[in-house]
Amino acid sequence: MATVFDTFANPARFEALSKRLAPFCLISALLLIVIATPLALAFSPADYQQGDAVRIKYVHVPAAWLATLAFTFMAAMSAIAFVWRHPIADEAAKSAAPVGLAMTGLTLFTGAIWGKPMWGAWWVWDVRLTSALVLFFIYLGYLAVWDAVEDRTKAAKYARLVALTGFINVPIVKFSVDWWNSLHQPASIIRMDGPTIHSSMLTPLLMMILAYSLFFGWFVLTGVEASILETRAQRRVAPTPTPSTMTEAPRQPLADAASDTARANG
Amino acid sequence: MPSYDCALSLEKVDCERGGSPVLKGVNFDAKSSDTVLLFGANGSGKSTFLSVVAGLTTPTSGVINWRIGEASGQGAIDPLGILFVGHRAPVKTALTALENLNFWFDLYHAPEDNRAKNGALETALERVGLLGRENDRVGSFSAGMKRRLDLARCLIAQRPFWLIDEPTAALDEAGKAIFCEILKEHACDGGCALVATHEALHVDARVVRLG
Amino acid sequence: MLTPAWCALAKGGFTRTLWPVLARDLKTATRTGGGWLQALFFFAVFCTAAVFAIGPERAALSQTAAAMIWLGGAFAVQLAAPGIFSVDLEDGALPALAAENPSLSGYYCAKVLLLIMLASAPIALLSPVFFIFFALSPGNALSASAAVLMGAPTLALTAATTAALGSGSKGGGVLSTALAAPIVTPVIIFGVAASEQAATGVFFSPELRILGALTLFYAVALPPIAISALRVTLE
Repeated sequence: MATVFDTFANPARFEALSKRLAPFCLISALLLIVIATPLALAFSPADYQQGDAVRIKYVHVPAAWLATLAFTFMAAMSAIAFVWRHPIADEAAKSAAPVGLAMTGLTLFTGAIWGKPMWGAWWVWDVRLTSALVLFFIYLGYLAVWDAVEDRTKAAKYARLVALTGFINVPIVKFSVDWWNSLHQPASIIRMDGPTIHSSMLTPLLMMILAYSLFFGWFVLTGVEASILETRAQRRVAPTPTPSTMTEAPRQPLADAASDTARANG
Repeated sequence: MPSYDCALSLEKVDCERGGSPVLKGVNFDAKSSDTVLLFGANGSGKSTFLSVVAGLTTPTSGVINWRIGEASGQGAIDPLGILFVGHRAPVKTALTALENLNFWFDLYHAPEDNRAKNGALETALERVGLLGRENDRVGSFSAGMKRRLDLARCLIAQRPFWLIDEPTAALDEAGKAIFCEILKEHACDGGCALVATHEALHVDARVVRLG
Repeated sequence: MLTPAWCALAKGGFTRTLWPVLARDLKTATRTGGGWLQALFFFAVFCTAAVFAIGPERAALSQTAAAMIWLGGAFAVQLAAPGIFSVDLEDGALPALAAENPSLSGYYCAKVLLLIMLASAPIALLSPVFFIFFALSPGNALSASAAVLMGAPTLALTAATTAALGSGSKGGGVLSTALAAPIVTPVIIFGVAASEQAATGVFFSPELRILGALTLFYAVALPPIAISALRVTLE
């Protein structure tokens, strides 16, 4: 555990790891999408109730999955940064936020275009939908904190607290369909009694989810890598100021305080 | 008169602010009756040094040891042993001079000390030359008067360690003289004062330079 | 003769900062041209404007009463909150207070109590009047307001927390209101439902219980976050 931790905490080792892992993530994500898209759009059956509109779920479900995964990841990274003070954890949380924001937006958008033919409305004030909208705002707030505070180390510290506070909302998004009577359909993949959808639908769906997750991994890895490079570049452009050391000057006699000050100030 | 017995030492203290290093390998010792003037250019870390000693900023490495009477410890000094006076005078303009000082008295003292409060506040205001204005709202005070009122905290706090940042910024000559007197008395009582300043103060003091 | 305070007092300084800060801020609030009335005044204006916006129809008014009053209250408290910290940040009082009370716990509690006393409690106490404006009968208005009173500490707690989170940035006021969305939304959802239930005669409704549970949960979960944020601001 300690070695895994050190690998991720050390910028140079992280870079080496990321150089190998990131392309793998990206290529496998693309491959999966290329394979899963025809499966989802052509070879999987239409739903007997929803018709072809059901195909939106091959985008909607993975996006929603990633929206909550990204925030959970951010909260976990923030907790790590909070306890162990690893700056890379802050950067990882920060790189995850834009993906999370985009995916929450995509979830809301695909949900709306599915809702129009199914429920007859673009939007309903349902617990699941509302909590997803709130998640969208939390992502915005999190990014706004990074933007609003000039001192990066301070911004990171506030952002951690925002991520930890905002995490309250994630279980609400996930379990809202079970806790309240919701218009949104209940979970059908991760259930105590096994998935309730047929394998011809489940296979492309799971491939999509995996593809999105790998894409997320690629995004975060490259995001952290970029921030490491950025920090290094900044150091080169503006070298860190030399810190002060302390020296004791001769004692200031009462009579000529002024001249001594001049000497002390050099 | 209170009589303090205290000591402070910093060993190899490093400190960062906003991600960049400010202090490096600072070694510092002070004990009862020491008045220490901290000199250094703007941004040399005088305020950071005081804020490390006050326990407001945690150093990235290094050791702080302190002793007050029988009590001693490592790390941040017991809050009840220090008086921190920052470079801005935190006086509330809507309150009178007396009310402002009363607030700090309540903060620095146990409720048992209340019998002596009125006398102590009046003496302190008299020393800084604000007696007669004590019931005026601070909003009508000049910057120098506000500074004087803030320095009156030194007279009521009864703490061994004083950490004072730029005390003479807005003070006139008379105000500076009063402040120097107060510093001398603190040294006579066995107190230890660390004063970050740009100006020569007319006191018998150690001089320490950051830079 | 004064006793040396550093022998006589316990460490930490929780109560030693709590009461003086609260007393000082209450006194300041009464002095600054009715500063303590501002949140109440905002609430009154908001509710009056809402009445105009909805129109004079009594059924429509009574249906929206709880929603409007909770929203007005939440916004009023939220807008009042950044000011409670900025006064001590602007004049450098916070470092001096933190030197006394390093955890800032006493300071934070004083500020939450202040916000309850100056903003959320007066709003809750005035809310029966506005429930009556919104065409509720006096009896129903009183019980609907009782639910508001129960949520008043939570509104202050959430507002103080988001204000602390925004205290380090220049646009702190706007930012803290934006950050409030996730934690205030549940309070408003259950608060409005509890007030609506109370107005129909069911006072101890499930929603009121959830509101109570939420208050307890926030009272435990939010202060550490707010205090950490204030300590970051101080660094």
